[in-house]
Amino acid sequence: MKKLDFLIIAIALILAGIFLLITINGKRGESVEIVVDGEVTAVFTLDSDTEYRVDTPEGWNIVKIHGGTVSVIESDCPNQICVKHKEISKSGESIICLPHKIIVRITGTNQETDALIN
Amino acid sequence: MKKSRRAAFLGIFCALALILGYLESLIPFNFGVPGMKLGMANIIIVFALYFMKPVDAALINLARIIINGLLFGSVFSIIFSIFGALFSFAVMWPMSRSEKFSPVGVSAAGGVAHNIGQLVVACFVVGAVQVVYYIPVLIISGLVTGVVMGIIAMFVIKNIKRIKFFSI
Repeated sequence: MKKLDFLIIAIALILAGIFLLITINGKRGESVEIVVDGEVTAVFTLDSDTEYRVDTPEGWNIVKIHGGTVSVIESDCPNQICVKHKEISKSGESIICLPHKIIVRITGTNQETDALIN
Repeated sequence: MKKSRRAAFLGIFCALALILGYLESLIPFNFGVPGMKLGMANIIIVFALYFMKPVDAALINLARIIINGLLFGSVFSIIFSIFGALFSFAVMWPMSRSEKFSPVGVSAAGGVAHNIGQLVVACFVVGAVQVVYYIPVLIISGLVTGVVMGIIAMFVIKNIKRIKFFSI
């Protein structure tokens, strides 16, 4: 290995660190947003206990909110990455299903609307 | 290099990259983060960058992605792979030409660039900057797998140089 290799590694680590500081504030989130193709289609509070089916032209996902955590429990997408994704609970975290263009994200600001479906 | 010799070498390395890609799919390597993978095929690409013309390395890469996608993935996965490969190749090519980096550094930068490239596509596909939350973990995973694959590539390159037959 050469000196500049370590520079590359250092730059990557610093970049990762910067983004980590920007993105994760570690706060427990308050509401769950379901975003389909860039638009928020449903909002839930994180303490609700529910299963919600998201239908898109590309397919469907079932989102489960339970005990302050959110996960995608079922989907008909080909890669199943969203289903394998770990549960999320902190503000800023998200589960993304690329084939269906669905984002399930947790936001920190408390929404007045409880289970409002537009 | 003779045309036939070039075709044979391209075929061999494309096949090798495909096998490594398949081998990788057999190894469970998933920590609940999409896009995380070992990137074993990158050993071949790094190797090709040091032993062949850049255009040949790019051809191997492209053929590998298309065949791999048709065999084990989908059109969707091909598009993703192509963008990841574009980013990583754009970084690895000039780095491998300069004498200042070893294959480890080249591969590490390639791994990080690959993951960032895929993230950029993901950003456009879902139409949200939300994917930015994956950046730290994807940079780290790209770096770690890149370094490991780079170390393997470095040993391969060192040892292949000793074989006289291999004078491309």
